[in-house]
Amino acid sequence: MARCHRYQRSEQLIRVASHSKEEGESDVRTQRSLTLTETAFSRSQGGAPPPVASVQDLVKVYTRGRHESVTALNGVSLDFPPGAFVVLLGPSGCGKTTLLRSIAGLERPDSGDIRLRSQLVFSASEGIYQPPERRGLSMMFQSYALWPNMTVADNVCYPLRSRRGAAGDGSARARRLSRAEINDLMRKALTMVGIPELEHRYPNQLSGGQQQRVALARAVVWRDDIVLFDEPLSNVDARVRDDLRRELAEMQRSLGFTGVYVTHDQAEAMQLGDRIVVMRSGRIEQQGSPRDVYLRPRNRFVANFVGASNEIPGKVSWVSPDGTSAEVTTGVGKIRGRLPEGCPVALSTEVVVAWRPESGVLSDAQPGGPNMWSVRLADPVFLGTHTEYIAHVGENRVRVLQTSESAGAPHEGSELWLSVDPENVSILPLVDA
Amino acid sequence: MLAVAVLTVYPLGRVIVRLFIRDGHLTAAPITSTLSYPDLDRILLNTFILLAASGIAAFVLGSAMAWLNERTDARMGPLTDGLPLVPFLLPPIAGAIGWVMLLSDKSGYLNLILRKVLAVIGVNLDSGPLSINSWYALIWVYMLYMVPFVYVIMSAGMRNMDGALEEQSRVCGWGPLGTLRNVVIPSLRPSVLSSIFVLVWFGTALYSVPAVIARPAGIDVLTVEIVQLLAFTFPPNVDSAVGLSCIILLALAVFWALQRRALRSNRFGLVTGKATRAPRVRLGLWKWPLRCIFFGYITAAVVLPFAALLIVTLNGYWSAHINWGSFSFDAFREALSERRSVDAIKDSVLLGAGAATVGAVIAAIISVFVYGKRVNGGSKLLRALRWSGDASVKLPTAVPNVVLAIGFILALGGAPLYLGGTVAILFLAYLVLYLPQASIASDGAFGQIGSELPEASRVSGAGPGRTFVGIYLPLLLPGLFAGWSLLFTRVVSDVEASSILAGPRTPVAGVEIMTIYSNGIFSDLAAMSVLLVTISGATLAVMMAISKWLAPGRGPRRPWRAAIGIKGRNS
Repeated sequence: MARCHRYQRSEQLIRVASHSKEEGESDVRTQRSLTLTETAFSRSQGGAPPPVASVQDLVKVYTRGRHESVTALNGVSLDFPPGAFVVLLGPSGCGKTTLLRSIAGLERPDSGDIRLRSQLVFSASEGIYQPPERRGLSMMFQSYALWPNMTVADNVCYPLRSRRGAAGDGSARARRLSRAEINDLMRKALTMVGIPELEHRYPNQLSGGQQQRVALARAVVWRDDIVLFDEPLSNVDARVRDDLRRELAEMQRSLGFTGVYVTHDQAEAMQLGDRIVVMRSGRIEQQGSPRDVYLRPRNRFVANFVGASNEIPGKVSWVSPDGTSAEVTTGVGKIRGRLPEGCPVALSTEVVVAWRPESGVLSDAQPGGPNMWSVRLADPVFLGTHTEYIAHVGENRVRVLQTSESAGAPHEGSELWLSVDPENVSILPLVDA
Repeated sequence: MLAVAVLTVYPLGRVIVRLFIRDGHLTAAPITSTLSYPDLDRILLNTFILLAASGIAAFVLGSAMAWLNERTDARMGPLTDGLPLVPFLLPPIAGAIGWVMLLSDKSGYLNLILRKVLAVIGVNLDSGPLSINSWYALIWVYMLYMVPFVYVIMSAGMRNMDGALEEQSRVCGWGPLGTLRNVVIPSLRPSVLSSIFVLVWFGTALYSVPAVIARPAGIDVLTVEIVQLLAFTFPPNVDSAVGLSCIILLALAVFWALQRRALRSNRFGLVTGKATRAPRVRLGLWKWPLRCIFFGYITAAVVLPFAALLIVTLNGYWSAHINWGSFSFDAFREALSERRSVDAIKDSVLLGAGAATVGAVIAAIISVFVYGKRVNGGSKLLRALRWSGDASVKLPTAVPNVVLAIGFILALGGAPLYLGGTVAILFLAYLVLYLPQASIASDGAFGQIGSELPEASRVSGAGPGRTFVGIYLPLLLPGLFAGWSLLFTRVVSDVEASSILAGPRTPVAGVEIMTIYSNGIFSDLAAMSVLLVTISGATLAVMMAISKWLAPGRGPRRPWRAAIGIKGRNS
């Protein structure tokens, strides 16, 4: 439900924003065509702070048994700008966790480089490998990973006791902290996550949510500038997860660390990330703001993975001179839409037009403009804030999401007009590259 | 680790090679002398009947108790969970002697009581009604010591089985019995097969029980024959001993192959990684009657034989009349006035402590290799090390002690090392024989730690050293202590390997007890047995207290359960 709200809001925003963005996008396009690699978020030219972490051409292949091998990372390059919250999103086995663990130093890629704060910490070609304890970052594990033999306080103090002069924030903490300083930082961290009273307990005396908070406190106690999260919320129940997500986002903003967050839950990715990196089979499929990834998917995989998508196949019959939009001839007439940036198409290419269920607009009277069909609504499903219908467009079944209003909600079987703004229609390659 | 592997594989190889080659010449003598061995067919038949009868009984009882403990509300915490500790608490040698004192025709305590009861209904007997020198007594004692093995394996199987599978079957309309037949038993088949294998292994390897009970009853059993040929024949008849050992190996190999074949279809992928809470059957009125099975077993396996030993010891002699008033510790004094006995106990304790310490360290190192590193990658050397570590731990669990002991004599007893009859050969043999015990314990402990705890420590800025001291060690110690004490008690009460390997200058407790038994001095025998049990029991108790103190309700859960081999998947 929260997601639906969000879609709606972002949809309105995008409508306002879409025209003013055009310039910036063409910049990106030229840049991409120059470099050919996925050098991420460097949308700004010059003056931008250097990335706090970056990986180049990482490859990692696992061998299982004698003949079977799995490519977890297949030439991944990515920059992490300071203060960003980057979410690595993808189905299980896409390599997102391997990428995270490689940054932490828990995994050694087969080739590629990893830099933290512009320093090379891993390079397969140069034989450089810094162990995790010398990389000066924090990590929150999926299983909490609280040491059962230590109290909450000891768990949280552990990173403080072990480090010296490895502070990630650049400040010269070259001496060991005093006991008082350690306790002070520990209490601050526990207060920050809202469990100052649990200091003397042992992990097995805590609930799942409390354990998660301890793990979070341990991850932020040292105030590292990079904090890694390996699906940390997948083991707690929905309500707790929601609270923790919100607190995590707030904490990241107030502490200002760079977060790298692995998840397979697209709703979580949307809520937490200001950058989303969608991965599949060891490759980056798309990266950008949540809005970009959601409304401007570059291929069918991304379109379907980050949300529901209506798809109708067809052939390109017209392309705008600037290459940003096109018209597709389908079984239900011509459909106009946008082309993903940097993906020029030739005429007669087989493609798929795709749009989100909530982009469809229902009206009684025939609207003007392209992309409209007369439909009959079926199978309404009440989802709380929204109601979802199935509309038959020719032989295609498309989903339409409407806000649930007490009055005026269309009934099953109503004959209505469905239209979709060409701005919200993506024209995607039939087969993903 | 390579050395340990060599120590395991080489002696075994020597046994098999010795079957065909003697003094560097190819010979058929061992085979012919074995096949012409007097009464071979009778010995084999005896062994087979004994194993089949006691094995089936043990399997039924052990599985039933495992089911009661894992899947019903009859579980009684430490009492039922600790059942697999029985053979450690009261070693087979002591248990067998205890049962002799209970069931002896004339003055067995149980017989005394039974005769008194029978006298009430007018039946007067001079001896009996039960006899220790009988098939049923032999089978009974075998069964008592086989039950814990079945119990451990079946418990692990039931514990790891996803409870949802049963629930699904119930939802689909099958009753409890139908579910048992269609779902539970098929998915427990791997556990059943490995129980059978372990029973065959244990049964063919057990020496102390048949030496005490079967020989006087005139029932010849394979292991007793082998030990007789080597230790009580002069010159030792190595040819036949090797031949008979190879019969055991052959039988085990056949069972092993059958087990592999049955498991190959691999349709047992029913165990899920998720920790699921299996539904416990509510037994209602049946709860207490069924709980009595546990009480009955523990009474029969520990309480009764130990009580008999204690009474004989305190009485100072063994007779039909218990003189309650004259209980004293004189028997201990007498037993310990023998220099040999004192030496034997001292040797055994020292050997036990030494082997347990070295074994626990080696087991921990092997576990680090198995669990500490990712399976893939690593140099060839590392892989060889890992393989050899694995082999050195697994092989002794499949080869009977007696056979390995022969291997040690062949490998180390003669040129060039001439270790025969020395403390060194005993130490090495104990180490190899009982390393699996420590290894199960340390694997269990490692398995509970998982990979994320140490990883979290590394990311928190602690190097490998600090991670080991701060994370691994505190979490492993309870398990390692458990493993240490299990290994220790095994060594202290060993009879099988010692009977073959110990020389006149290296008396050890197990052999000394067998000697006293053949001399027929029962007060000494009982005193020594009680001493042995006390040492084992005290060690277990102290170590349990230590590991509890190390992890007061916050360390790895149930280090002892893991040490025995029952472990939940995601515990």
